[in-house]
Amino acid sequence: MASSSGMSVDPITYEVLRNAFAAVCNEMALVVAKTAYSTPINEGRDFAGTVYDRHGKLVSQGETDLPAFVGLTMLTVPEVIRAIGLENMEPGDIYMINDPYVASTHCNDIHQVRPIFHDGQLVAFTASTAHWSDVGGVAPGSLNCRARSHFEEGVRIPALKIYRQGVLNKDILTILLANMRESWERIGDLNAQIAAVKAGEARIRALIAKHGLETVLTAMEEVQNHSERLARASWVSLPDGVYEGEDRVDQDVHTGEPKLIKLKLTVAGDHAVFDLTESDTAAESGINCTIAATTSAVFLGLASILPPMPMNAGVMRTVEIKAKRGSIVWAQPPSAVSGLAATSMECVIGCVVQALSAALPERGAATPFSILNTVFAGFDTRPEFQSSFINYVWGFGGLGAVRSHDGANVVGSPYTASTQNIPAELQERRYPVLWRSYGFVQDSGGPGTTRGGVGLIQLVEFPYAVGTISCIGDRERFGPPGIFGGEEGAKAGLVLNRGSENERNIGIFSVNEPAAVGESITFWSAGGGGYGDALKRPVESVLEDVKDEYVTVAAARAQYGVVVNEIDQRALEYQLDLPATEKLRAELREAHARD
Amino acid sequence: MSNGASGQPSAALDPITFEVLRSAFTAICNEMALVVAKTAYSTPVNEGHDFAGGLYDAGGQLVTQGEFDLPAFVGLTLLTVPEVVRAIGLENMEPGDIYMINDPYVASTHCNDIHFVKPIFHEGRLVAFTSSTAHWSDVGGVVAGSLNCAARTHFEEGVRIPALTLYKRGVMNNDIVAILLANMRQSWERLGDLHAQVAAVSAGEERIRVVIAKHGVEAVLTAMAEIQTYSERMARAAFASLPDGRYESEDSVDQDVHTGEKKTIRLTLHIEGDHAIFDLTASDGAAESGINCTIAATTSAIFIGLAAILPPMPMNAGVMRVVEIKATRGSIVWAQPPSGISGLAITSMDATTGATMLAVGKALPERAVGVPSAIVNSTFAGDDTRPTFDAPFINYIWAFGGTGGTKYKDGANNLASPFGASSTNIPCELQERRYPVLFWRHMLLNDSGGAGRTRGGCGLDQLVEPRVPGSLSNITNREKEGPPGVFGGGRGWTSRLFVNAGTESERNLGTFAVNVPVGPGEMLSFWSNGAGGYGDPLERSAESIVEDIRDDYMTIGSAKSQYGVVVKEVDRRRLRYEVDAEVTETLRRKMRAAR
Repeated sequence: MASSSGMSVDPITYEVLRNAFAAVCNEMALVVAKTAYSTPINEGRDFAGTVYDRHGKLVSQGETDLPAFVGLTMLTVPEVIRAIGLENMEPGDIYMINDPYVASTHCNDIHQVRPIFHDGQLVAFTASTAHWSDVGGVAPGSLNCRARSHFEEGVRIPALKIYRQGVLNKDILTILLANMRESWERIGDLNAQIAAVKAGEARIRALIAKHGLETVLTAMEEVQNHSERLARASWVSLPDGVYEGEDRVDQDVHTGEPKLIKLKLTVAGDHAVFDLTESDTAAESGINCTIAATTSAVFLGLASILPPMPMNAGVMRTVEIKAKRGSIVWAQPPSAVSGLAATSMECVIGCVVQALSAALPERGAATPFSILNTVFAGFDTRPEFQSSFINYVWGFGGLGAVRSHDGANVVGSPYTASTQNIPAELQERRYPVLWRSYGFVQDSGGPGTTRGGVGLIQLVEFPYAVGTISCIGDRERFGPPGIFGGEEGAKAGLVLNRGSENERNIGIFSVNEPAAVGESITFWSAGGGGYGDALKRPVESVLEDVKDEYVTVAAARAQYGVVVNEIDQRALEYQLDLPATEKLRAELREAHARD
Repeated sequence: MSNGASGQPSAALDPITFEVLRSAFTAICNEMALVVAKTAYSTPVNEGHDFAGGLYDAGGQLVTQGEFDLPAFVGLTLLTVPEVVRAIGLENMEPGDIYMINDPYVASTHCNDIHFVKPIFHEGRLVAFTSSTAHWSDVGGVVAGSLNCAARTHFEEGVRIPALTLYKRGVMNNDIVAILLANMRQSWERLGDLHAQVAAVSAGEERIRVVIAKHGVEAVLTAMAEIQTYSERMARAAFASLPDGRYESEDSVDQDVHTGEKKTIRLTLHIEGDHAIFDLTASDGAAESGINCTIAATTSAIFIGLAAILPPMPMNAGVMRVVEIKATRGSIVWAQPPSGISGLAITSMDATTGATMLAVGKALPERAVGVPSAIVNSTFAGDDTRPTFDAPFINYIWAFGGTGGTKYKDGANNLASPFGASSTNIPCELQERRYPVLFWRHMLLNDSGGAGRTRGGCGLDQLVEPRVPGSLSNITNREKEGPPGVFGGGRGWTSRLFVNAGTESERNLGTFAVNVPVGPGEMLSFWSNGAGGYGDPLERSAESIVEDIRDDYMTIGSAKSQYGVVVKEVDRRRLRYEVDAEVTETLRRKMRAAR
């Protein structure tokens, strides 16, 4: 295999190194997972580990990394290089950045970057990204959907040297800790990431020692070329043309208006243009997407059609992203961004999936739910705790249906596909919460020939603490759209003290709503959109759904035109009434045709 | 002159040299203030004179303050350098260092007040510190201008800066500046403020060097110690001249913005021989909103109140030796992190000053004074769309008010509150040039001064029209109860903030407002308090009343209703009025009897 530098690496060594780079990333991720203090990192796995070449071009990402970081990590190190300057980089340095407007999602996602030197020459970078539980701002947890500017969202960190020649810039750490909640956790997170980039460096050094510098550098270049070739081949396999996608965030919290994101995907030969310039202008609240997050969203969507391969700067060479500065997909300071992940970023993904589905229907998928990012924070009054806490309570939901399969139930949304559910038992131990229920939402999957995955309903009680609830989600007003005639998934919601006298519908765009001892929240996520005409769904599948309690008897009739009679629910005995079904489906088809 | 309690090495200092040095130290502080006034970019600093310059001995004890410094800093500057010494360590200080701090909980008022401290070395030995304090227009947080009365925690109020080393041996830690600027609005202004203060402490250093060169280091060190002893002696003499006893007083903040509850500050002043104890332990607990006082600001408030009875002298660490302040941690006068504090100056700090003045007045009726107004502190912020500007702006709109009546004189009209007594009015014309606002009215509010034998000063009636859409935030106090009078004097008028007063679209914004949208065509009315009166209004001479009417400080109606003086208008244009002596006498007799 030859690189542009003329050096060549034999195919076996190349494969060894390609896998080694991924292993280095995986190890960095593991270091962070094992040592960080933030629960969303150590349990939720909201992190990434990445390796870059000496120019700052992304070479490899970890296999368990958060998809949300897949595109933006391409921008992180180039921004660090731009701000610090290659000429000012020295062995032992570590750079830190979370600036959303140039190289990150929201301020919670903090990046540490380590330059790696060999014989005095800069040869590579390792980087670690992780979601710190809190970075300050109005809402504990720093996800403030009501923010009008980043000044309400937490500490914004431009590229800076947290370590210089191995020496910590203590004053920077002091400022950060004074402006973030639970500072003892933050130190743990920082040190975890420092350990990760150093571990990555040690592994890169070992590779250089074993294979020689030139071979490693060539392989780094070749990995990018390889991904580029694979990506180009994928584009070539798609029919040239223009494909559109459209999705919308429920509301700009301050105006109540939905915000539209529009994509025009042009596939032309071996490359593609993702044009988002028709999208709405920036919102007045914290739901704007950064260009880095938009890039991630495009790459995430892409992953569904590309063959498995390192997502790196090589892929980027085949893709052009067009967007307008100051629009909802390219926020400019001081536009607020902290709630982007559950809102505009998910919608960009939705648009990309729709457009790609149009281009390649057999890999097409309906739109998934948007995550409910709920944070309960306050003071834990249990005698053995007696301290403040910030508890991230995620609500996973249903994925969109695909041609061959129903959507999966209750998993992370695409941008968080790698995150793990944080077990209720673990949360109950760490935080003053009690899970009263955790179950599927029946009938929430969007009806279709294949059905959208169902959402999740949770009832969480606060028996030991006074605190506040904040939530950022989406799809409370508009369910995730279906595709090719499939219908939208059921909507999300959040209610305080449901079914009691003190019931309060605070909704999924909420900030610092007070919750007293003994109060509870009930919140449910959306189901995924359906794929294809629901009246074409095989009656056996509908019957199976009824048995599995994904679909009720009533919905089977109303949505699928399938008449099922319950014989013995406990014994899972149901009977299909085929003649009635046939008649009903014919009637429904006729009614649809009239509409 | 000998060295008393200071424990410094004794060296004889002749009285003339002592006086020369004492005055030189003050001149140095004044020069530092001047440097800041001439070079800072924040309008409240360069026009409003919201700043201070301090000179400290080698141990960090305050020696001298500037004569034009903001009184609000008079006590807290005593704490600033000791905190810097504690945090950084004397052993880590080197020539060329400059330290920075604004941490409210240990050494400041609110986060806007930023302190720079420079250690001064002579032949390798640390001999003194210079410091500069100034109110930056914005330090981040939810509200443009960073005064957020609704803040529940400091995370909503702006960047908190613990003591750190901004310059190490003359080299700036650029990364600190980068992080500060990324988290504060109008970063170009902030950089100007920072450089102004760095220039100020460096100018102070230059002057100290000159003084040392002329008089010798030992003489300077001795003078620094002796000034503190001198102030101590004067303060002791002042307390000794007061009758021993226990004097109680209270003053209050209208409301905790989140609970609506009144918050009361209760002071017991014990005078025992030549020292005094200010006991605030009976004060209310901390508020849930940004109206809590820091211990540094509480110290300032007490020193401001004290200044009313002490003879003119350097307010320094010597005075502190004769005063003990007792307070409870976590109460409204000693906020603990993360309690919100950004609105303290006009609320709890002002009320602590009020309580101190009332208690001191009881101990020394001769120097007693009615309670002054709380200034109306508004910030109007937005984007200035005027063609030549086209930039975001933050306009501090202050409305000064009256000061209290004293035994011999009526209170002054339209001055800043005691904590801001040195700040100068920012001219309307200048504000109209710098910001998109139009001042339609700026005049005294007649009848607003509290009735009394001597009358409280009048408040201000200010009418301002925004020329662009923006948001208005405001903090003041004394909207529910006007500033109290003393010895039978009446309360001054309450303060108010209205939009479109007197029209159908009139809105009472209340004096605690956060980010209220206002725009062109709307009229903002700011009415500040009149101050409390002194003594029985029925004892006020009829001649003074007529004079008040001529001056438009008072109407004929209130002359009658409040003072029992019946005045007839003869020719208003020629300012001719007549007192009906007979009717007045009858009326006053009736009013006395009715009591």
